[in-house]
Parts: sequence; structure tokens; C-alpha cells
Amino acid sequence: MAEVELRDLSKTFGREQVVQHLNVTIEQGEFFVLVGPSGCGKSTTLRMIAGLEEISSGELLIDGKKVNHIPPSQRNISMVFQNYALYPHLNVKENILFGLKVRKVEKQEQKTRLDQAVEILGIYHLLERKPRELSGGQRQRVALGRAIVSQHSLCLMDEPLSNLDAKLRSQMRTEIRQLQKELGITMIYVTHDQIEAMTMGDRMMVLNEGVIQQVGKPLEVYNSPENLFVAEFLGAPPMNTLPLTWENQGINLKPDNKGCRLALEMAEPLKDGTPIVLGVRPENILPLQDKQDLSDVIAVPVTIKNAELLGSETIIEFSFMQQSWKAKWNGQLNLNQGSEIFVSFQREHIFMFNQESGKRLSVKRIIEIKGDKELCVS
Amino acid sequence: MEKGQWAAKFKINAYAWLLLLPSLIFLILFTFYPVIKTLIFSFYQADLSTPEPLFNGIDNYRRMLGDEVFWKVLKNNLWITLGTVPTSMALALMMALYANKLLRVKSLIRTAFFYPTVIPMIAIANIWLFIYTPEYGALSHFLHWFGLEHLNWLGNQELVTWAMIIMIIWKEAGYFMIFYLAGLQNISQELYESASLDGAKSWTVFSRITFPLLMPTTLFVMVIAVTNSFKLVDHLVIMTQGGPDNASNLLLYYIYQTAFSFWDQGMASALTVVMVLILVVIAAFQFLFLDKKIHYN
Repeated sequence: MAEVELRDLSKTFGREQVVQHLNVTIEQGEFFVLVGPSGCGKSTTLRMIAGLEEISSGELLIDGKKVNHIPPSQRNISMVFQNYALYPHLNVKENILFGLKVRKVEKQEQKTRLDQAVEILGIYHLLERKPRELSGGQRQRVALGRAIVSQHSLCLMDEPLSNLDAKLRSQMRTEIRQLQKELGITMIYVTHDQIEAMTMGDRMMVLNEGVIQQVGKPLEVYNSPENLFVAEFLGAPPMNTLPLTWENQGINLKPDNKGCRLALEMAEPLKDGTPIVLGVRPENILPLQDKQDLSDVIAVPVTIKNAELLGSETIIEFSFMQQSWKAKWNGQLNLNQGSEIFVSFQREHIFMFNQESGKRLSVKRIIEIKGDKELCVS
Repeated sequence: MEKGQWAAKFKINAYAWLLLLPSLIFLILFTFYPVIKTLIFSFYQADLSTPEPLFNGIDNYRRMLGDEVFWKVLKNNLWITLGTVPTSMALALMMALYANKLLRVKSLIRTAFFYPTVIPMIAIANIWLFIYTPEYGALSHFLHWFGLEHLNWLGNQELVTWAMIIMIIWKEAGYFMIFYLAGLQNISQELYESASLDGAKSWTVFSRITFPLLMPTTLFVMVIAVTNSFKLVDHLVIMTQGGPDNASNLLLYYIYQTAFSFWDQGMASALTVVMVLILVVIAAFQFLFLDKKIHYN
């Protein structure tokens, strides 16, 4: 079992600080996902944990022991690389056993571990093949096999699924997750794919420009993003946003030059004139078909710019106060470009952010919705 | 085959031939024609005493087998090959590994290793002629500091081959290094990182990963090195003219001497045929036999 602790971990390349003061503890047996856009420092962080990259400042502890200057081979970790790092001139069996041979593990023990890994991964028929004779998914399994036979309690993965097609990726997501549970190992998993981050991790850490944005359980992070970056990063299509100004304890929406006012009670009071950002997730915007049912909703008329029918769901694009917004609805809605419909925002799912700092401002409740008839109904 | 289909196929083929034509003309004029001509000539007596070439069957070849100088230059060539190929390749690999590891002065070191290659062989021969000159030469001076006797490197039958070997290695190693550098840069960094996580020592990494993955490069360099060891003769013109007593003479230079000093065209053609055969056999051995043991990506 392994516990990893990052204390003020930083990395600088020349003058550029690519990872800045990370503080987090990854617990034993946890599946921990590092997620962020490319260039956010997630791979660098993983490589510092592996020992492939020197730590510029701060401390790295594995099982309570400082390992800053301990070479990778003595940190008791296994790693799965993005391109699998299989030796092209060795067959599958030799590839899996390479590490054990280097460590001079006993022959009998090698065989036992190989058999076990082969059994788990179902790759018995591939043992004599060379990597070039394997498909992407099979290579991925061999790379996992190498991690399994090492029997290290900490496994690092660097975007291991990015080279696979969509179908295989979803299958491997489940397999890797299952494997981690079965073996009871601690996993640190780097990805830029939010689906992987949402579905695989016990917890995730969202990074941007080398700075931690938020750490937490996937749904927690999704439902209460700490800032605008996290809110826009998670979710597909991303959260719709609208820059506004705070006035008289509320905000004014003016679609089509008509007025609609929301009076809000915030957890912390805001000064008049504070620039803010309103955020609504696409799935929290609903089509309003039945005009009878207009109680307790914020409804606005919109003109459809585009409709993408994906089969199981429909993504509607419309213009809302000069911003392009999207809504995601289940089922197949046959809507023509240019047609006008009413949409409603689910009032309990309205997010507010400080425009300057990006920090989320907690909305306690919506006190009042006031507006012209047919436009903004409460 | 139907008529329309045939016409279509002809059209495609004609187009292909048309594109190949320019290079084909040059190949025929300057490669195939001379090769065949040489082969035919090797069965003729064509020297100063025969104004019209005279067919003499395998007489040239029979005479060659009895020619002491032929066997001597062949032996010399073999020694040059054995003396230069493995050493220059090993040196090239070491230089490439070193240059590849450097971060800052990489291009400087690379240039330093590579520059002997860009100097023309004639200039190199002049430089080394100065180095090997007895009494005044750089090497003699150097040996003198250590109180050692100077030697006549180029005038001694035993030493002259060694002198040539050292010079050729000096010239060739940098050239081969470039191929190894390219080969090294093709090996994914991930493989090394994975090995370092496994705790592989640098020797294990070299012998189990780097060297096997460089095998295609090694084969390629070997073919070039062996053919070069037969092709490099420019220095003989400057340094020894094959002497003393043919001790430094090589097959290609001997062909030149036979053709343009002794004016025996028939014999020179026969020698050329033998040389080409030797090179073909070596290349075939390398590509057909060694190739099977090599991994390609």
C-alpha cells in the first residue's frame, strides 16, 4: 500500500514555472486523477512523482518517506506510458518480464507472476508476438501486464488511453478501474479527457497553468466548481456563460432589449457594480413546451441557430444576449434553424462567478424573478 | 484480357515508363553499358601490344591468379577492411552516444567529430603525410618528447598498413557517427524512462535496448564501411603510390595502375569484374543473412 504526499511541489523550466506549489495527499488504494488542458503541468507532476523529472522545490513523500532524491527504480512504482513504451525488438513475454529480469527476480517467481498477469488480462495467445503485431488495445494490455508483474503498490499512468479508439477506450476505462480495485493499488492517473476523470477516479485534481484549481470527488467538482475554469472545463458542451454587472441585489437579463430581473440572495453580499459571470450548464436549460406550466421558472424566448441531432440527445445552439449558448436535451427534437422557442433555466442550477478572480459566488436562493410577460416568467 | 482494359493498363504503364525515362537513360549510359562493356573486355587481350582487342577467353583471369601483386593487394585490402570497419564503427557508436547525451555543446561536439568527413581525401592525405614524415613530422616530434625513436611510418612495409588504417578510421568514424546519431534519435525516450523505472543499469540499457534497436543502422553503416574500404584510394596517390613494394597498394588503385600506367585494359577489366563480384557477395551476405537477425520497426 502506498500513500503519496505532495508538499509545496513546484517545477521550473528556466524562468517558466510550470507547476506551482502543489499540496495534496493521495491516499492508499485511491484512484486519483490529474486532469487539465494540455500544458497545464499534469504530466510534469506525474513525472516528478515517478522521478523522471527533478523536483525544483517542495517535498514529495511516498509512505511518509521523503523521496525527492531517490532514483525512480527505488520508489517502488510502476508506470504505464502514453505510447506504452514496449520494447519493439522483444516479444510480449520478454516485454512483461523485462523489469523482473533486471531486478533479478527468481525464475520460478517470474513465471508465477507472468501466469497471474496473463490470466487477468487474457493475453495468453499473444505471448510470443512482437509489439508491431499487436493492435492498440493489445499493446495497452501488455503495458498493464508489465505494471501488474512488478507488484508495486503505486501505479502511475500518463494518458494511457489517448491512442485508442472511442469504443476501446470505454472498455479499457472499466478494465483499468476494475484492475486497480482488484489489486488494491494506489493509482495516479493523468488525462486531459474529462470523461475519464469523471468516471474513473475516486477523486480528481483539476490543474490549470500549473496551479491546483480544485480537488475533490468527481461529482462534487462537477456540481460545485470552485471557479469559472473548473466550471467551463468539465461538462460537454461546456457551461454557458454571460458577463453581467451586479446591480441592486440582483442581475438584469435583457434578451431582445426587454427586461428581466433576478433578485438573488448571495452567501456573501456583493457591492453594486461588481462584474460577475452567470453560468448555466447546457443540461440545465430545458425546452418549454407547455406554457401552462410556467410557475417557478426563468423562461426566455430564443431563436435557434443550429440543432445537432446525436440520436440519443439533441444539442441546440442559440444566441442569448450576444453570447452563443448551448442546451442539451434528451431524445430527438426536430427543430428548424430560425424557429423560435421558449427555454427555461432550472433555477437551482444557476452559477455565479466573480469576473475578475473567477471564484464562484455562492447563490443562496433566488428571491424574485420579475419581468415582462411572455419573456421572463416566475 | 479485354481490349479496353489492356489499353487502360498500357496507358498507365506508358506514363510510368515516361517518368522513369530520364533516369533510365543516364543509368544505361553511365552504369549498365560500362558494366557490360567491362565484362566483355575482361575476356579480351587489350594492351599496348594489341591495337585491336583480341579475344583470349579466360586468359586474363588465369594470369591474374598467377599474379603475386594481385594477391598482395587483395590481402592488403582485406587487412584495411578488417582494420578499419569494426574500429571505426565502434568509435562512431561511442561518439554518437556521447554526443547524444550532451545538452548544451551538442552541435559543437558533433561538428568536431564530423569535420574530418567533410575534408577532401586529398587534403587529409596531405595532413597525414606531414604527420607521418620521418624526423620532421608531427608524430616523430611527439615520440621524441617521450624519448622514443622516430620511425619511417610510410617507408616501412610492416608499418605502412597500420598508418593507413589509423588515418582512415580518423576520417570515417565521424561520418558513421551521423548515422548512429540519427538512429539514436529515433529510439523513443519512453523506452529509457521505462527502463529507468525498472532500475536497469546503463550497461543493461545499452546491451538490451539501445544496441538491438540500432541494428538496422549498424547493418547500413557496415555496408557503407566495407564498400568504402574498397573505394578509398585517393590518399595512395599523394602518400605512397602503393609502395613500398606494393605494401600499401589496394585493389582499386591497382586497377587504376593496370589501366592507366601499364595500359592493360583487358586485365584492368578483369580486375574490375573481380572487385565488383567481391562487393556484391559482401552486400548480399549482409542483407540476406544478417538482415534476418535484425528488428525493424
